[in-house]
Amino acid sequence: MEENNISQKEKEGFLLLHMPKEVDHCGLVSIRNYADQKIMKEGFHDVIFDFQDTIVMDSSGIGMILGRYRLVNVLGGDVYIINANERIRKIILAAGLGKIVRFMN
Amino acid sequence: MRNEMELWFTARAENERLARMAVAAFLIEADPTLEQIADIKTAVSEAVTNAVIHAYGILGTDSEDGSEDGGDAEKKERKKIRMRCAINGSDFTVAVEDDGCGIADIAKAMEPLYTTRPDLERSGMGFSFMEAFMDELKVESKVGEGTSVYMRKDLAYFGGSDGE
Repeated sequence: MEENNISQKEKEGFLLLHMPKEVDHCGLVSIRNYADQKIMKEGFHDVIFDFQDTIVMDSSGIGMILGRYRLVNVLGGDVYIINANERIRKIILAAGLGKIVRFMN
Repeated sequence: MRNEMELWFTARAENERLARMAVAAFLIEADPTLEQIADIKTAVSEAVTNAVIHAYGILGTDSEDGSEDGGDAEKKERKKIRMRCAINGSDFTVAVEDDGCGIADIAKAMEPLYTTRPDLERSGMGFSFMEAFMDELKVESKVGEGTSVYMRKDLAYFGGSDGE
């Protein structure tokens, strides 16, 4: 992908999605298309959202995580969150996603 | 310190970023904390996204819906969002207004997890986020005329500047 916010490490079958500095509905369009292609066509069942660079996130980020969870859940996969700062973590938990995602460092 | 800003922009998904950057630039003089800037940017992002997607029904980015080569460009041209910001001492207010379809049932729209567009992966958390990140939220709307979202935040509250 030429999009600067997306890079990919396909270690051990995990789909790693680098989230942008500011997560909004507009910026997620290309990441969503990319992720769904990988999940549906290339068989990635476990998704890692990397929030290393993310400072601001609105509710579209919640929709993004939830949407990918619904996809991979039926395929037996899981959704992981890595490098989320305290704020992003709080947003994800406040939205009630604490039960369906796993936080890792 | 008192200051005001008014910004009109075309209803495009790409302008969510513009709105966030403009509001952050406007805030600098009031010496907010990083946390407050992030709160306000998130809330503004929600309000502008609502206007783009729900009020005006613009569902994709320019490259997606083909308006870069004339598709919806003309239609979008007439769809504007107005953002008004004011700072008075430590009191910050922002209004995001559109002339879109309006909301028939505001109370319902503000319920957490309620969305009219689950197909777009809207989480139904937009108004909840605005409420959570700001000190005050008011929504006025008339079907067929448009929606105004008013938000307020006291920047003195979490150790931000008290202005004057």
